[in-house]
Amino acid sequence: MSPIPALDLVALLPLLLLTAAAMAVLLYGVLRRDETGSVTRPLALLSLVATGASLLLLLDQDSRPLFPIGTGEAAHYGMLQMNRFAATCGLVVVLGSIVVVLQSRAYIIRNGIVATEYFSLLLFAVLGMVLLAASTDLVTIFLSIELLSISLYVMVGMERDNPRSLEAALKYFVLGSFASAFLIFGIAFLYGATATTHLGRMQEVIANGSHVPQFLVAGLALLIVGFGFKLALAPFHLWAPDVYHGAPTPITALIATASKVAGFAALLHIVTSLQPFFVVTPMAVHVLWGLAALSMLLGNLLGIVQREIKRLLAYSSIAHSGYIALAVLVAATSASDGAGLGRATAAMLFYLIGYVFMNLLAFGVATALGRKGDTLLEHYAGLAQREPVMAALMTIALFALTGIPLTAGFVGKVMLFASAVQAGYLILAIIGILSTVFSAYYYLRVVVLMYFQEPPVEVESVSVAAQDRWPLVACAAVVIILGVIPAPFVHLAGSCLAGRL
Amino acid sequence: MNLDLTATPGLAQYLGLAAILFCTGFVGVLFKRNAISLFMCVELMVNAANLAFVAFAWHYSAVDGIAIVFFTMTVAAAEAAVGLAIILALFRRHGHVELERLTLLQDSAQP
Repeated sequence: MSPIPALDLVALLPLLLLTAAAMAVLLYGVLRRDETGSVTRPLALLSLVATGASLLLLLDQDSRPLFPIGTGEAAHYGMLQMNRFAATCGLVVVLGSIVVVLQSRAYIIRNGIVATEYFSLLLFAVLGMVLLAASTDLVTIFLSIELLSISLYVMVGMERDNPRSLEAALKYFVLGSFASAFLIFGIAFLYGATATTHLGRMQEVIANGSHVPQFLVAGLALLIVGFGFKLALAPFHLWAPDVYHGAPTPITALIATASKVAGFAALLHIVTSLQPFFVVTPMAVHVLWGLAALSMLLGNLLGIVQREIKRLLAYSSIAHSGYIALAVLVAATSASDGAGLGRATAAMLFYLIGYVFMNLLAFGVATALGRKGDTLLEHYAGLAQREPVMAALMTIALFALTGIPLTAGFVGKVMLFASAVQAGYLILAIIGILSTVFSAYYYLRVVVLMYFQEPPVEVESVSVAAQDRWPLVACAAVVIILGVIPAPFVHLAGSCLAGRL
Repeated sequence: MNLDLTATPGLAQYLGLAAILFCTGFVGVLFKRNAISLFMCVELMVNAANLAFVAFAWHYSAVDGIAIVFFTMTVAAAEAAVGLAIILALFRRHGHVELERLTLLQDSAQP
């Protein structure tokens, strides 16, 4: 009998903190009523800050496998791996969730959402995301995706007196569970192909050539369809505009930002582990190529005709998924020890960090200004006269989403397209740049609307409380800092690769 | 052609059955419009994956594939709880759960 290995409590601390806090908030909701979230919201914030701090501690640690499977030589494989990459992704997720919690203050009171359930589910969703970024086994990846998705299904439908919210919840649930079925069937075939679900061991099996190629092709195809749905990559994006539109706006922000960071982190883990297979199978590369190209084009072209800010941002996020998928494609086809993989990972992480904050900013302004699910673009006309600060913040977000210099979006796009060109994906980079030009039209149209048009007469002035304003200012500051002095962050993103898997 | 009904089914047979179940569920999701039927079709797809896991575990004489099935079943149960709650809430409001008749959220239906 081998002894049970001791738990690495330091590496587990972020996960334990989140679990304990989520349970505590849930329990509080059973014992006491807390309709405005005056107790549970600070508790949720506090636990997220503590989780962020514990992740910061892990940033400079060596790679730590958690919950090792097997003994002896197999023991260096863990179901989870808390390393620099996972800690960075987790940190971005936690920071994004802190902004979401801050944005939720006025929103949940205004829309009659039960605070205890809301914050408890939010913490469970964050737990799912942090777990997902640290997962190195297909089973843990599946379980954390489900923890995240099931919490999100409920949160999307939480605005109970808004029929749009319920409809969005049903659509999200049906397509989400459909996607989960694809994921788990794909995982079954990958297990059948390699007799393991651990990504590191799978990589060894594929490199040895002792796998069953047909099952691997089937498994990977199903897995990519599943991830395509979850990450809203075209042509699997159809749920996204409806769900983004109907969900409570802070939750839309969470789905569009933090959950994508975690999802792409897991996808990157998977494709880099299956990299030897991608090198010999052009078909799999073509599929990823098509997904990235179609997402960039469709997202940006369909964004042009939208008249609702949340739908517009939904199509924008489909396009951005396409840009990030481009980095995943480069990572999938570069040698695991080469510079290409490092560049692609750095570009993807930097882009994701910038993307999270610019989208949180855009959704934050939409949350602060939206009344009862009313987020029509017409209401932004003349915003600069009524709410100059909000208009300025929205402008920064839209400039960053377009990729205008001096914002995070510009640096991120340059890194992404440069890594794609260096890896030989010239056509895809051109498609990306062209679609960015299309996107400028609809982003800048909103800016024109805010600054150069008269406000409609019937729109009442919305006053935004100062405490709802400062998290947005902080997001804007991050977006600009990332764009003006990107070097330290590029370095951080680039150093994440060391000690992975 | 002699059909031997006493022969033990092999991996191919189990996987074939799993594929048939998965495709049945998939086609159901594409063509059914009632939320409950859709949900049942998704369950069928998940159970196809379970069958595939057990078949592979049996083929490799490994136990981990069987253990995964327990996780999948738990997840499916959690999904069912949440999904049925959402369907119930919708039914209370609209009196039906036909996906086609839920048209508040559409690209064309904007006010």
